[in-house]
Amino acid sequence: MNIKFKNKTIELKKELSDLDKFVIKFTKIINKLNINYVIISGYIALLFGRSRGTEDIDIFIEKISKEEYYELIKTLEDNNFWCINTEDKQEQFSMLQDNLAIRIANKKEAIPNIEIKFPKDQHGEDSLDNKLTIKLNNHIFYTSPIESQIAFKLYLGSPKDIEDAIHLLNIFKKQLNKNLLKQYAKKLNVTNLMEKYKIG
Amino acid sequence: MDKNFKQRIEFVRYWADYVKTHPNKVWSKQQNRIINSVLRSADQNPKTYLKIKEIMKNADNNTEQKRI
Repeated sequence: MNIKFKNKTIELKKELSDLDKFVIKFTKIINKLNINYVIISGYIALLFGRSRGTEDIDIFIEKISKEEYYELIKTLEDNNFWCINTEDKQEQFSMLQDNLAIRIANKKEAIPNIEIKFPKDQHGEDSLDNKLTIKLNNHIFYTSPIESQIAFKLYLGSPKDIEDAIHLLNIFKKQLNKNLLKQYAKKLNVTNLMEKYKIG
Repeated sequence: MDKNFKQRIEFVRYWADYVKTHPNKVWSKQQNRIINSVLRSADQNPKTYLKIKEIMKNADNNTEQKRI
């Protein structure tokens, strides 16, 4: 694997999957609107080579106002996206405020989709505050620290999540900040799982 | 850790080593076959999809409750 990981930026050039193309199409819009966001979880494991499929991409966005949200959804709709939960934008915004996720897909489709949430706790807020830049074939988007993602995957705890954590650890073994990983693991109370799966 | 899960973890480690030791173009071409086939065979009915996700979320919550 050829990646450059320097100054909180990871550069990667590869053959794009349909999922990558979908992420690029979506993030081009959210980048233009200057909304703070991070892509987290499964897609990031896939981006760096994990051999499995997925149908959704998880994104935290900063807590934006109703007006900012209306601008976002209008821009998305103008670009052939739709919210599959409901077409009522007021209801969509209420869902976000209630810490529920809304899903954005290509118009009249359901898969793939972007699962958007507001951060509901300090871990989510930290993800936005400490984001990394990803340059995928020269397109830019953002993700949370890899150490945070590994710990969070262990916290989620399903076999798929643990496998994602192990994959990311193996790929970024040399670049990871071990102390930071331990701190995140301690915060999420998964230190025992790090020992169990020989992580860290 | 059950035997099946242990074998899956061994494969994850094997594949991560493969990814690390091969050019991006090589591993990404192979990986894309899996990713694209999942998307292209998907049921695009939003109501069905949201229902399935709801059931899966409830199952995950039950697992988390048991863990706690």
